[in-house]
Amino acid sequence: MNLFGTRPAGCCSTCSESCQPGSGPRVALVGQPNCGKSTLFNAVAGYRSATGNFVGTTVRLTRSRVRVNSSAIELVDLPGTYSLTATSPVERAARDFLFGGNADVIINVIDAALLSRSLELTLELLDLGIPLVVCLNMVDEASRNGMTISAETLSRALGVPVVETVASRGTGVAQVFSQALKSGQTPRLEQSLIWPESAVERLEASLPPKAECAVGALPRRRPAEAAGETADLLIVAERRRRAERLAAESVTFGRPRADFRASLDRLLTHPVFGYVFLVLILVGFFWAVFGIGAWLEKELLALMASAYRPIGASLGTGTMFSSLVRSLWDGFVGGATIVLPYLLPFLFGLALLEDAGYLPRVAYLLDGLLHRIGLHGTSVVPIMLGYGCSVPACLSTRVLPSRRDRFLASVLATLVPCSARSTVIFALAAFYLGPAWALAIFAFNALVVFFSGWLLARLWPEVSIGMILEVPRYQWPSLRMTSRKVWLRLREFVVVSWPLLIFGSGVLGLVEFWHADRLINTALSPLMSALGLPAAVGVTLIFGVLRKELSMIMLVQALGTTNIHAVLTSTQILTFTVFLTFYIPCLATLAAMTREIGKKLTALAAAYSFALATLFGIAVRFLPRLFALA
Amino acid sequence: MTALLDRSSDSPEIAASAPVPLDSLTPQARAEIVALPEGHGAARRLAELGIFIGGQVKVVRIAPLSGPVLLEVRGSLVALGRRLAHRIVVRVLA
Repeated sequence: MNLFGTRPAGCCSTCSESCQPGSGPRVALVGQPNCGKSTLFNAVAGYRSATGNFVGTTVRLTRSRVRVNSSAIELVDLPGTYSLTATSPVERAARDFLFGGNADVIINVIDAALLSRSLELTLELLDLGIPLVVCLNMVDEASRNGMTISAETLSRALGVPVVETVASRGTGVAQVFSQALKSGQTPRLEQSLIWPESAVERLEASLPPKAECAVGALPRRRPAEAAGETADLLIVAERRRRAERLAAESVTFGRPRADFRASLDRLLTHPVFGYVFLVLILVGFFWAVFGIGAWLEKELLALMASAYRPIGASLGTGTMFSSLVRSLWDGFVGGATIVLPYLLPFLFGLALLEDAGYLPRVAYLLDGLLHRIGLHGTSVVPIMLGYGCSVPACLSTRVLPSRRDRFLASVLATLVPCSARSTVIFALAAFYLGPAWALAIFAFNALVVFFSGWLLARLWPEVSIGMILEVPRYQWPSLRMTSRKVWLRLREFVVVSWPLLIFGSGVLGLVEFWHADRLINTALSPLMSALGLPAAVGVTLIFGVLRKELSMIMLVQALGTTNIHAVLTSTQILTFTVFLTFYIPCLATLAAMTREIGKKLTALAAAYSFALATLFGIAVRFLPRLFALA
Repeated sequence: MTALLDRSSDSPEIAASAPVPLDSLTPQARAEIVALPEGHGAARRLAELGIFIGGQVKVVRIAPLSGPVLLEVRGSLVALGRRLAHRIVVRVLA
């Protein structure tokens, strides 16, 4: 979208270095979770920031240089935070950025429907003295709830500009940014809120004499961190009273309009039907992914085969050049026909569920169940994200309050089949054995995840305070936002993994040409014979450490055919799929895990998943006797 | 907290407005928060979401399998784990 000549001009993920001269004022977007900050950011910055309808989507700070009315500004999207007294590492990132004096202007995004609660953060931000513009977002939601908010009254009472917006539709977005530019030229805010004497006195009385504390007189110090919780809660209570009074003064209540979402929520979180719908939604989701994927795969395979015929005929066989070209082509075809057809609908479906706000409902439904394995519902978010990609899943564990919860959630999230592994399940088990087998693998995996959680929680017991989770309103996912998010995730495959697939396939082609694969296969043959797989498969597992779908593409290359069923029996296909599903996390995931939980625990997690893979791989060999599988 | 609960069981005539654990309420009940659990910074995190002593909440739904209690708090929905809800003391409002 191009508003008033806004265009993205480069972006990087961290904001540690200082602002270069001439790059314009640095504008920070600050707001509580689910207030639409990232939507506002994306409206002007293009798709750089990850949006999602649950707490803690923005884990890293995302920034972008944008142009507003021919002046440049540097826009920083801070993670959602309820207050500046950070309780999780994610919120700490937002707090540290602001306390570090990094922002020239703050755009405080507010969910208009939750005015009173949101104003508590606004009052806290005002204490920082940084020029501020209030972006009263989602005014359409507020009016649906029967709330009419007077922006003028609010603006007068707060002493800062207030702009009404509906960021998802782009309404008012231009005004917010031109107002921010204007405010950036004014000097730092005067202390606009004076704390009542009585509150300050009471506060001071409760503090040790030398304690540093931010009340009125010392607005830019960290509020009462040294003072302990009592003084802190006192300030919070005072801010709440002010916020409530402000909200009461600026809102007139009318009749709320009937909202079908309330009935939808009654159904989707119903004690019985909620679970029925959960299962239906997940099964429907996987069925749709398989249906679309299998159709695309068949069409694309035929297309690619006819495209290759003239090339193959002119190349001949037996030379190093011909086997190199052939294997590079196989890598390309593998990406196009086996990975993309499943990855695309999968990422799209997951993004839809995320943006609609269904994931917190899943957390609500499964919290009780997860308690039985020593986790709580909040861990559902990393685990669900794990179905997309293990790397962001590991990063999203930062929203969890305790180190132990972060460890458990990241181990479980990496056990869940990511989209690469799902692709393997779809393209091998579902395509050759039937969709029911793919579903069985997913269900079995869920059982293993459940059991692993139970086991790990026994090994590392801890009494946590349990789930505290805001459940946001449902939102119609915007097609533009959702497809941008899908593209962002797909781009990772297209620019990083696909070239890697082609390169890896080429390497394997040469390795085979020189017969070096025998060495690797001989080294891995004990494992292969334990799994009952042909020795030629061994070499593919080495590539699986880079990317899981690489193993499958390599399988095509190593066996020399795209019709895998001609070379492997059904049992062998199943063994291979199950082994890859649990096989150690890929390199990128191992790196992310090391960052989040440390080297030792990561090594432990990798060893655990390898042991599971071997154990289940061997177990699958004995399945045919039970199911009479060919 | 326990003292409050003991007193309520001693005097049944004030049972209607006696302090009870939050998870003992039925859906649609409105209640005023009387006491919050200590430790783990729980009180602060709850306060950020609008759950504080003297504040009001409405129970929307309670999930089965010892699942969470879904509350309506100042216009937003908040899910609290059952054990945490059990440690929050409330007084039911008419």
